Amino acid sequence: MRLLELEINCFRGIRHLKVQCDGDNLVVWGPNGSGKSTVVDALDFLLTGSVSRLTGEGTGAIHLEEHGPHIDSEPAQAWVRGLFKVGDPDTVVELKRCIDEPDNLIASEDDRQLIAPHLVLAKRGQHVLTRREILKYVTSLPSTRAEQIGLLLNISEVNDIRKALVNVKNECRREVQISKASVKAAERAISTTIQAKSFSEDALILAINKSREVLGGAPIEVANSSTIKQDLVAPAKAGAADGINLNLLERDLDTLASATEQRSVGQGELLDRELRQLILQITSDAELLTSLQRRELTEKGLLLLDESGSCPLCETPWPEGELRELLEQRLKIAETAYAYQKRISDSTATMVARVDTLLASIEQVSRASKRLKLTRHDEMLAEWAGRLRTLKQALSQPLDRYLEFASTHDVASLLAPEDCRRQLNEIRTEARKNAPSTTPQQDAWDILTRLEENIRRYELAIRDQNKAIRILNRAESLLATFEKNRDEVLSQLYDSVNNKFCHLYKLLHGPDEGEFTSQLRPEGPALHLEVDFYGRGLHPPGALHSEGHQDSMGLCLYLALAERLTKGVIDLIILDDVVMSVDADHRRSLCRVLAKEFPNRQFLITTHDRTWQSQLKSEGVVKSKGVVEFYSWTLGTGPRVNSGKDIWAQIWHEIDEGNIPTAAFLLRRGSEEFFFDVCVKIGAQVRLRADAKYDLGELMPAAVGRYRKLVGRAKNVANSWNDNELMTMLNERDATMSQIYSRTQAEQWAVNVNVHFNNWTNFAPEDFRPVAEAFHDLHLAFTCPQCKSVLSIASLGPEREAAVRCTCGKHSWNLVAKKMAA
Amino acid sequence: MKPEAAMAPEVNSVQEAHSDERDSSSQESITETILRRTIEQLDLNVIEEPYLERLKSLAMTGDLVKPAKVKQALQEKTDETA
Repeated sequence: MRLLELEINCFRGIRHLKVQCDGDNLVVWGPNGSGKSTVVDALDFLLTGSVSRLTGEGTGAIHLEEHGPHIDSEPAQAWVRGLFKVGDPDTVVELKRCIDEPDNLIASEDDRQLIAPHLVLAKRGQHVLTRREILKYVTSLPSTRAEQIGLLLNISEVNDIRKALVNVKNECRREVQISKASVKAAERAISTTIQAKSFSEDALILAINKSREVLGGAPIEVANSSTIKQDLVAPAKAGAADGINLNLLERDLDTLASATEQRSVGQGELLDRELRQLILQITSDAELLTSLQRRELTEKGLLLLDESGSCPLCETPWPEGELRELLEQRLKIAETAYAYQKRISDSTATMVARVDTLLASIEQVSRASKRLKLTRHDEMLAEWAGRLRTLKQALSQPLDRYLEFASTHDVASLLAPEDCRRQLNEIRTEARKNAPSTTPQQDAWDILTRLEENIRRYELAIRDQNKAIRILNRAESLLATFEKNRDEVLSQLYDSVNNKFCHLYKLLHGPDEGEFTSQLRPEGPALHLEVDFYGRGLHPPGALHSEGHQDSMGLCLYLALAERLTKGVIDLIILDDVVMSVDADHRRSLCRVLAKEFPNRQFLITTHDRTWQSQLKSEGVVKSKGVVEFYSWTLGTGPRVNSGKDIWAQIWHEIDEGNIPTAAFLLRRGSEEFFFDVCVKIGAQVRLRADAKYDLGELMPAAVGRYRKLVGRAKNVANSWNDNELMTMLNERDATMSQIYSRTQAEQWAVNVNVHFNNWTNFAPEDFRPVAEAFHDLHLAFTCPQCKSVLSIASLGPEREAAVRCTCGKHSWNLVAKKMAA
Repeated sequence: MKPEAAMAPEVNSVQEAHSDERDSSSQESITETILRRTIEQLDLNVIEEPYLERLKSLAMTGDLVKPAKVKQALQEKTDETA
C-alpha cells in the first residue's frame, strides 16, 4: 500500500491541505508547532478511525470528536481523504473518513475489500513510529518492551493463551487442595468412629478386624467399603427397629459434649486469637506481606544473579554485590514471614480438624435425632453444622478471609452454640428412653456399618483427589509444552529480528561500532534487549549508550520489525520526528540506510530539522518534489505550505498573479534551501552559527565564491592534463557565472528590499520578475542541465578533494593535477 | 501503537524466517505455529487421546484463550475415569 495523495480538511491544526506524493517518499518539515504531526495524525485517522496521540496514557480528557477537528470547525467539517496504490496489479483506491463518523470508512465496496488487510495491520499501529514509541522499544522495562513488540507482532494472543493456561493450572491446583481437604475430613470421620487421635490405615484395619472378630468373621487385610462386612451375617436384631445404636450415639454425644465444654471452647478461642494475631501481624506489615508474596521470586532472583550483578528481572545494573545483599535481606524478612505463615497453617489445621470432628458427630446425632422424631432439635443441629462449614471455608484461605470472617462471627459460639449442651442432653435422655439396648454383636455390626459409610466417603474423596491430580498433571503438561514451544518459536523470530537490527545498526554506526552485537531474548513475559558497548560486553541499551544511540537503536529495531511485519502489505512507513537526538553524521548514515535497505518502501518523514531534510534530499531518499515545508502557522490559516515540487512554477505563478509578497517569500526560502544544499555539497564555508539558521546573505556569496575557486582549480588541473575540451567548458561556465552573478548583484537593491526587508508593497510584477529570473539562472549555474543534480565534491579522503561531479557524470572536473617530472 | 490485535496470518508468518518449514505451514501465524507444535509435542502418557482431540479442536476454534473451555477439555467424562 502506497500513498499517492492526501487531502486534509479542518483537521487538528490544518485548515486545508492537499499533498501529492505519487507513491514516493515524502518529507514534511517545518518548525515546532507548524502542523507537521497533524499530517501523521490525519493519515493515522484515515487508516484506523482514531488518532494514536489522542489515546492511551495521559489522554483521559482528550476526545477525538472534540479535539480532532480544527478548533473553529465542527466534526462534520473535519475529514481526511487519501488515494492509495494497493495490490498486485496496482489498483488505486480512494478512502475518506470524517470525524463525526470515525468508524465509517467512506469507500466503494471493491476498494473496501482491497484495503481491508492493510487496515488490519494499521490498526495495530504497524505503520507509524514516533520518538515516544522508540523509547518503548529500547529503554523501557523488558516486560513493557515485550508488550509493545508483542502488539506489533500480533502475538498478544500468545500471551492470552498462556494466561488462560496458567489460570487453568492454578484452578486445577486449587481443586487438588480442596480434594485433599475432603480426604482429610473423611479420614477424621473414620478416626472419630474408631476413636483414634489421628488417621492410619493400620488403626482402621485393627478396628475393623476387632468388630469382625466379635461377629465371628475372619480378619481382612485391606480396608474398603465393599469388603468390610464380607462373609459376615447381621445379628438378629441388627440396627434395632429404629436404626439407632445407643452406644454409638452416646459416643457421638460424648464427643460433642467434650468439644463444647468450657475448657475445650476456651482452647478454640485461644486458637482463634492466635490465628487472628498472626494474620494481623502479616497483613498489617506491608513489607512482611510483600516479602511473603515475593519469597519464591526472591529465591529465584538469588539463583539467577550472575557476576554482572544486574537485576535478572529488569536488567537494571546494580553496584557490585548490592543487589545480592538486598535480596538476601529480603529473603530474611521473607523467612520471618514464612515462619508466621507456617504457624498460621498449623493453627488452621488444628482448627479444621476440630471442626471436622464436630461435623462428623453432629451428622450422626442429627440422624439419630430425626429417627427419634426429636424435631425441636433439628434447627439447632442444622444451624450449628452450617456455621461450622462457613468457619471451615474461612479457614481454607486464612490470609484473605479469616480476619473478616472472625470480625463478624464469635468463634466460641460457632464451636458451641448457646443452648447446645442442654439440647444435646435432651437428645441423650430421649435416646436412652426410647432406643433399645444393644448386644456387643449389634455394636460391632453398627460400628462396621458406620465405618462402611465413612470408608465409602473416604474412597470417593480419594477418587476425586486422584482425578483432580490427573487433571492438574494435564494442565501442567499442556502449559509446559506450550511455554517450551512459545519460547522456541519466539526465540527464532527474535533471532531473525535481532540479526536485522544488528545489521541496520552497524550500517548506521559502522565507523565507530563496527563490531556491534546485540541480543534480543524472550524470557517469560519479558523481552530482554542487550547491546554491545564498544566490545566491552552486552549491557541494557539505556545503561551506557547515549540518548542518540538509543534513538538509533529504537529506529533500527522498529525497521527490523517492520521488515518482518508489513513487507508487501503496508509499504508506507511513517517516521514522525524520530531523529531528535541523532547527530548530523549519523542522520546522513540513516539516509543511506533508508535508501539502500528499504528501496521498496515509501517513507513519510516529518522533521523540524533542516539539515536532516537536506540530507534526505541529497542522499536521494526524497526528491525535491517530495519535500513539503510548513511555515507561518496561524490559528486561522493553519500552516503555509511551500512545496519543493514546483517552487519555480509557484514563484512565476505568484508573480503573474501580482502576489509579490508571496513570490518574494518563496524565492527567499527556496534560495536559502538551495544554497544551503550547495554549500554542503561543494564545501563552501559560512560563519558557523549556533542555531544553524543561515540566511541567503550568508549562503549565496559563500556558494558563489567557493564555486569560482573550484572552477579556477579545475582549470589549472585541466591545463596540467592538457584537457582542452574541459578547459573550454570551464571558461564558459566561469563567464556565465560572472554574468549571472553580476545580474544578481545589479538587482541587489531589489533583493535587499524584497527578499530581506520585505518592503514589497510598491513593486509590480515587472519590477520583481528580473530579480526572480536572475536567481533562477543562478540556481541553474550550480546544477547539471542533464540530471538536474547539484554539483558536488567527490573526495578521496579527508582533505583530498578529487573532483567536482554531478550525479549522471556529465560533469566531472578533475581537481588532482598531473604530477610534473622532476 | 494501538491496542487492537487482529489476525493477519499471511503477513505475520514465522515461516518468513524459517523457510525449511514452508511446505507444511507457510500460511501460519506465529500463534498458529506455536499451537501446532504444542499439540504435536504433547505427552500422550499424560494427555491421552480424547483430551488431545478436544485441545486440537479448541486450538482450531481459537478457544484456548478461554480458561473454562480448556478446563472442560482436560476433565474426565464419566466413562473416561482412569
